[in-house]
Amino acid sequence: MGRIALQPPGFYSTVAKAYRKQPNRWGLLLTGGVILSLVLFIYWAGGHFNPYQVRILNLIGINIGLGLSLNLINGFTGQFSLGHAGFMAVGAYTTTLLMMPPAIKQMNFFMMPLVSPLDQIQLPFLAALLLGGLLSALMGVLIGAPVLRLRGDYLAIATLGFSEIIRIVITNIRSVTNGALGLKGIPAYTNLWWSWGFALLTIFVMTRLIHSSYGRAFKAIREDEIAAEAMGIGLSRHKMLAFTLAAFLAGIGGGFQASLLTTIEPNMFRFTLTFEILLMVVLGGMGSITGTVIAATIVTILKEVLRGVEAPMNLGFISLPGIPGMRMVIFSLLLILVVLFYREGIMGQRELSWERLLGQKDSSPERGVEI
Amino acid sequence: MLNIADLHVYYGGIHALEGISLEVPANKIITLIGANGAGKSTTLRAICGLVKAAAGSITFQGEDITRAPTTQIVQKGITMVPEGRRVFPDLTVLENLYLGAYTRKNSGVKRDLDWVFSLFPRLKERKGQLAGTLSGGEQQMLAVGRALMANPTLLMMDEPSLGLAPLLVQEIFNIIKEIHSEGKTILLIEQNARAALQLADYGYVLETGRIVLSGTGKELLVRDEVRKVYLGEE
Ligand SMILES: Nc1ncnc2c1ncn2[C@@H]1O[C@H](COP(=O)(O)OP(=O)(O)OP(=O)(O)O)[C@@H](O)[C@H]1O
Ligand SMILES: [Mg+2]
Repeated sequence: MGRIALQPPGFYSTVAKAYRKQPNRWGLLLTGGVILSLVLFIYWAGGHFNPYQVRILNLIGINIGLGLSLNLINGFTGQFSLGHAGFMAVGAYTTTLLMMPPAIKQMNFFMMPLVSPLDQIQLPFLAALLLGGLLSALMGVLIGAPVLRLRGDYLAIATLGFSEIIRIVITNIRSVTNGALGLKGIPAYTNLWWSWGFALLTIFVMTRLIHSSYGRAFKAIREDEIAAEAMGIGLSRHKMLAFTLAAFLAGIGGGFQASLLTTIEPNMFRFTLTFEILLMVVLGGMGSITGTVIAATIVTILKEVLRGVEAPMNLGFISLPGIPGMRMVIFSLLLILVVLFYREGIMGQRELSWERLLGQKDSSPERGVEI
Repeated sequence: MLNIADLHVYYGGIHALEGISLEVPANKIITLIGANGAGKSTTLRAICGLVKAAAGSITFQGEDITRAPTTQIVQKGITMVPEGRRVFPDLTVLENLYLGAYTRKNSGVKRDLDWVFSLFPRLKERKGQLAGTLSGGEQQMLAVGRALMANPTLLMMDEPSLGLAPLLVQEIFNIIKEIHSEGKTILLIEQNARAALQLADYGYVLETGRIVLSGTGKELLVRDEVRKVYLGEE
């Protein structure tokens, strides 16, 4: 892995020397430093970035949370879920319906009135978000309980089906969701503090979880279910835990996205949405937290950069009409290439740690193990 | 300590165990020998609760564990070194060992880790290495070490010497002796019938899901049936 020297070598070796003397203390200090710089950057970006750039930055934060939650179940626990779009839809609609002011609800539901008491309810953003996450987690329990007992790839099929069913249900229960018309004028609470707070909190929770005995059990299940079971690890209990937590975080992410975009409609939550998040997980490395953070950033930015390929193009002698969905083609090709030639993704199962960046080269870093 | 009475196990339509009864007394080494497909591994899986018994009973230290979940069985003090090692390849040696202690509370885990490292100094040197990159013999040691981390009263081993060079086979048998001398009861499955019977206090011979012969190790070693079929003597 190439080392990127952002600082002159003198600075690097000073820090590395200090780190090697007291790795725990300096590791903590450096992590604190990174978080502080991030906070300062967000503060600065809030004042200096244009709205479009701020929006991308928000999307990156939300996508980090979403990518990590998918990685928890697919990468760390080894159970292949394809239901993220469905869970996000549940979170997005629940959050929206719970926090939207009654007046705006009335404007949206002009074809068919919104059922009572939803038409009168208006909860604070955070409460609405959490309830969206909880409902999504409940859906996770309902699908997971029967399916996660089975061995093999049934989860992928079941979650894919669930995700489509949710979308169709949302399209059809018009008195609750406004059907295909979607919901407009959602209060735009999501800002950089919320989205990056979500990202940082998810990173923190995931890191703690993965290094706990639960996390070790998740990985054992991924590696060898039979051996894990023989160690006394309850398979369905742990799979359920990972899956439900992933569904919860996906629901919250969906809520943030709804409030960022301020409009939602059922077709936003097609399989392509799950696919984009899956791409972040696979590209970053199945089972790597830092990998997902890096890949979520890359994919989010790439998606914006590639907007051009869908616009009509005038090449001087010939003008091409816009090809909607071209970005998906590129993303699909990218995923195929990664899977074919670069299976590990950016990080594999490794993490970008201070030990890796600054530690002694000869001593192979021991992975953190606590009882 | 462990009593099995008239145990039947099916895999779908296959009747793998057709009424097995055996006994493992405390502090003994008991061995189970038999041809491929006789049902040796199935017996261990049934004891661990990894496959469910269709009929019969399994009692451990006076408690009926026939229908208990594996987690509880491990907590009660039975662990298995599974057939074919089955270490967790992308986890480090240390993580593998801690997973063996998964069902335990903190107390004693550190002490047992030191004990495992003293049994297998090689594992200590390689504790940060990914288990999948260990040699076959080292992986077998890790599988045994991992099972010991559960601090079992009864340690069951399914062909621990499989695929190892003769020198390593000897080492594994020495280690089994050492583990036994620390007060563990051992139920051992072996293809290497001679070595197993020499080591064991008592042995059972399994043939297509039934026990056809049993006796002390010394008795079985001189039985004609055993000598012909399992020791390859004339
Ligand atoms: N998961 C399974 N599904 C179906 N049949 C099985 C399964 N596991 C084992 N069997 C069958 O049960 C019988 C006993 O198998 P078992 O693994 O217990 O044999 P074994 O004595 O351990 O053999 P070996 O010495 O080859 O390991 C065999 O006929 C085998 O084909
Ligand atoms: Mg076997």
